[in-house]
Parts: sequence; structure tokens; C-alpha cells
Amino acid sequence: MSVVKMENAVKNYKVGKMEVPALRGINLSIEKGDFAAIAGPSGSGKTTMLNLFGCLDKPTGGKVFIEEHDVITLSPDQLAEVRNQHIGFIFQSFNLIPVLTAFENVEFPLILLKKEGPRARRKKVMNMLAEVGIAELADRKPSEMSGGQQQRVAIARALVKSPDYVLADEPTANIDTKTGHEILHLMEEMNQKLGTTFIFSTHDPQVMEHARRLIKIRDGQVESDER
Amino acid sequence: MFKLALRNVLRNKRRSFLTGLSIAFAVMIVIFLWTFVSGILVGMFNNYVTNSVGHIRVLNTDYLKREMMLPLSATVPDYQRLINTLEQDQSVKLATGRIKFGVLMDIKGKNKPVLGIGIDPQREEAVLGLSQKMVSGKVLAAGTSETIVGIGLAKELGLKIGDTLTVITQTAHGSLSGLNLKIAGIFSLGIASIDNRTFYLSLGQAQQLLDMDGRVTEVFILIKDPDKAVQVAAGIGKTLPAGLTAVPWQANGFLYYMMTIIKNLYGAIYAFILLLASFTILNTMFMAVMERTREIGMMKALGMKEGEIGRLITLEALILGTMASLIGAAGGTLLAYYVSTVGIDYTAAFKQIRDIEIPLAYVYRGEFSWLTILVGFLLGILFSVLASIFPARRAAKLDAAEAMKE
Repeated sequence: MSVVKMENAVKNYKVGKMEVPALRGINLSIEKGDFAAIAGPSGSGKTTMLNLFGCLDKPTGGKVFIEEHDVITLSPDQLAEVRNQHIGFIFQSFNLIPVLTAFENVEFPLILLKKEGPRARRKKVMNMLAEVGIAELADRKPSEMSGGQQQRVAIARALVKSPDYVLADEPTANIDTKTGHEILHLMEEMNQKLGTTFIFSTHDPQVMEHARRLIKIRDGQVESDER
Repeated sequence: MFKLALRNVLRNKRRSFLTGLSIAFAVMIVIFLWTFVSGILVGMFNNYVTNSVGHIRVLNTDYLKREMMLPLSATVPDYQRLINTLEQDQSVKLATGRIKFGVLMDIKGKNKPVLGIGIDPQREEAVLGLSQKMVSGKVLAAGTSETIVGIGLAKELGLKIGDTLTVITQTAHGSLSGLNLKIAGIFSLGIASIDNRTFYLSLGQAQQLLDMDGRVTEVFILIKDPDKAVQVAAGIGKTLPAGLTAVPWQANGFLYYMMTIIKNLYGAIYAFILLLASFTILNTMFMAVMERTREIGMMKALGMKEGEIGRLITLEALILGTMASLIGAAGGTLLAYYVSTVGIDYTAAFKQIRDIEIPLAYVYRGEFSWLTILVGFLLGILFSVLASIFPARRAAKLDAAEAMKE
């Protein structure tokens, strides 16, 4: 069963009067439980692809389906709703809210969901912080944590609302190799334990080794898709 | 959301402090000015009302036409009965007769126009409060041939308590008449135009001097609700005999328009001050949005809707505006209290303009009102929130993917 699907997806960017193609007709389906890496050199279209998967952008042509939603037909607020309910994000530079503690950062998407009261949220957040191994850092602010610890908070934040899939844009780019491996192990562990689908972009061969599905793209086209 | 907004406000403490300071200062100035100007307006109104136009006056229609000349031939006859009738009206607080007449006095070879006012001392106590305004001597007593003189006039004429003031003037019928009045007291109403050129005598003495037995030049009326003077005057007017008219204070164009103009002018000044201060909020919120572009992009990526982002920024401005307005209102309350109790003394300035006709006081006091403070406080908040609308819209409309590239 696919969680997100592209059908002949095209994305062009306007640079001045020129139209520059970023994606040239992508057909791709991400299945539930995938641990998929999107790999390719800089400028190959990885980030554009993740943006389309993440409902952060709409395709210029073709279609992107998230569950039954056709992304192109959705309003900005509906897209926000889809992101809120279905998608978790992990960013290259962690992107935690600096004025909030680790606990509050992880709680943030649950507050946006407006489904649970403070007590239920607290339980979920503490469980998730324990899962990623930083329960004792719950009261620390991002500035009081290492890069690896911050990325663990970001993973907890992405997973806490049990999304259909998690998008991670070069999640190990800003941390050292050893911590990078730890982070990838943690993502694999969460993928296996919770069954969460992960889609991450990278150009690091060592990171690609962790992927169970490797989608290579070049010049905005899928070059290979190996399982 | 509130916690996040509050922490965002405290994120750059120095900037928030400086922004808050400008809002607080603006709120304080607005409250102070509002209190002060209201005090001047109320003072001016009260002075004008008590000394001149009343809430309503019953006049002879001919007198009204030529009031500047103080014509003694156009009077209100049988005033005592009129007062009795008026005081049965529920909306009337007080009615009393007055006779105003002009006298030329000889001061060191120069003629000086002086205003004599015949009053009922007992009734007028509730209007003019002369017992509180005596600088020396005693208050005017009814039925005596005494007078009390304004402090400026007494100085100019070199008059002391116990001296005799000889008044020579024309009667209502045009013949000459004179009266010796013993100076019982010297008063200061704190209004240059009255203190420098007015003396009071009892109504009976004035009637005798001017040959106006049973008549007055005006029946002066105070009512319970001054704002209803026009309606009350219309009601009174219907009951008056032919030749008499009831004139509400609003008919005095100068007073009415001056008050309206001052109110509007200062309204514009308050808005301008707050507008200037709100530019600092505008600037601060724009800077905050620009600095946090990436963070805002991330929050949108996490599923925050445009409206929620906009509300977050507005909430930050609301928190900052409320804290600043609270401080401003506290400072404004202290200033308002000072200016309404101690006041500001303009005696020195008035030495230069002794004979102006506007009944201005020497010392101005503000009109302390919690409502003014509340409105000043709320306006501070309102302007802060309004100023955040543009930055909030900008933040709300940021493209999440683009914003995260920043």
C-alpha cells in the first residue's frame, strides 16, 4: 500500500524569464514501511522531490497523491492540515524552536493537532523522548544540547504524532560521522519498531548503505530504484 | 501558543524593552495630556457657566440682541415669581437673579470699564462659592450697602477693606444715580478677566442704584444634566411670557465650538502620538519575522496554518503592547494624579495678558478619571496589535519551502 505517490510529476522553477526544470516526469510510489533513501548529486532534484512528498510545494505538472488527497487541488490550509496529520519532518539543521525546551518542541505538533489534552500529550512526549534516548534532557533548550541530541529531539518531534511517513532532508549532514550513524540506527529502529515509513535524502554513500530502498535520481529523473 | 509568544517576546530582551518603552511612553503622555486637557475644558466650561452663561439663562429677547451693551432697559420683570416656578421643575437645580451693569471708573485720570454684578449672595454661594474665594475681608451679605471687589481691581484702585467705593452710573431709565458701597472683602476667582474688573453687590442694592425694582437683567439657571440644556431650555421657553427667552449654554457659539475644536484637535494629537509609537512595534515585528523566517517556515512545515502563524505574531505584539501599556498607564496615572491635584501654575504667563475676555484660570488642574486611564491603556494595546497586522500577514504568507532555505 502506497503512502505517497507521484504520477509523471513535473516541477519547473522560474529563474527570471527562464523556466528551469527540477523534476522531469517522476513516477514513484513509496510503500508503507519503506526505509527509502533518495540519493543523487547536488542539484539532482532531491530537495524538490522531498518538498513535493512533504506537501510543501505543488507540482507544475502531473500528480502527487497523499492517501486519497490530490495535492494539486488542496488550499494552503488544507496542505497544512495534511502535513500536520500525515507527515513528520526531520531537517538537516534540526530546526528546533529555540525558545522551547526539548519536551515543548516535541509537544508542539501535538498541540497543532488539537486532539489531546495536556496529560495525554505529556505521556506521549515523555514516551517518545525515552524512545529516542533523551528523556533526561526534556527540560533543556536546544542551545543546551549537542547536534546529535538536537537531532534526536527532531526525530521524536517527527514521530510523536504517529505520522504515515517521515521525511528527512539530509538528516546527518550537520553532525559528525559517529553521531550520524547513531541517528540512522535510531531511524531504522523506529522504522522497524513502530512501522513508520521513512524517506530521506542524502548524497553520502555511507548513509545510503542503511537504506532498504535506494532511489537514485539525476537531472530530475529517476535513474534507478533498488530494493 | 501563549507560552511560545511570550518567550518570543523575551527572546530579544533589549529590543522588546526599547519597543515597549516607546509604547509605554506614548500611553503615559496620552493619559497625561488627556487628563490635563479634560481638566482645562471642564475648568473652562465651569468658569464660563458659573460666571457668565449658566446652563440656561432667561433673558429679555431685546437684551439678548444687545447683550454686549448690557442694556438695562430690556430686563426680566417679576423675576421672583419666575424663580419660584422654575425651581418646581425637576430638571432645574437652582435659579437666581443677576443684574450686570457697566460702570466707568476713573483710575489715575484714565477711564476703566468695570462690571458690577448684583447677586443674591446666599443663592450664589452654591454657584460662585465666594466664601472660598475671599482673599481678605468677609463675604457679601444680603441687604447691606457693601461690596466685594476682585483682587486685580482692588490693587489697581488701591482699595482696602473698609474703604468706600463710589459708583456713579445711569439707571434703567437713563438718569444718573450714585451709591456709596463699603468694601467688605476682596476676592480672587483665579480668573484674570473677572478678578481685574468686577465687583459684586447685593441684588437689592443694584436694583436700587439702577432703579430696577423687582427686575433683573437675567435669571441664571443651573440644571441637573448640563448636556440636556437645549431640551430643558426649550421646555422653559414655552412657559415664559412674551418677550422673554431661555438660552442654553450651547447657544454660546464661542464656548461650544472652542470645546468641540479642542476635543477634536487633541483627539488627533493622541492618535498621532500612538501612531508614532506603533511604528516601533511595526519595525520590531518585521525584524522578528525576518530573523525567524526559517523557523516560521519550519512551523508551517509542521502543519501550522497561515491563520495560526498570523495569530502568533499578533499575540506577540499583544503581549508586548499590554505589558508596555500597563507600565505606561501606571506612569500616566501618577502624572494624571499630580496634574489633577497640584496642577500647573500659569500666573506668570497671565501677567502678560491681563484683560483677556476668556475666563481662563491661573492654575490648571487635570480632570482625573479612571476611564481616561483605561482608554489610554486600551488604545496602547489596540495600536500595538494594529501595527502587527502587516508583519503577521507577511509571516503567514511565507512559503514554507522557500523560508527554510534562508
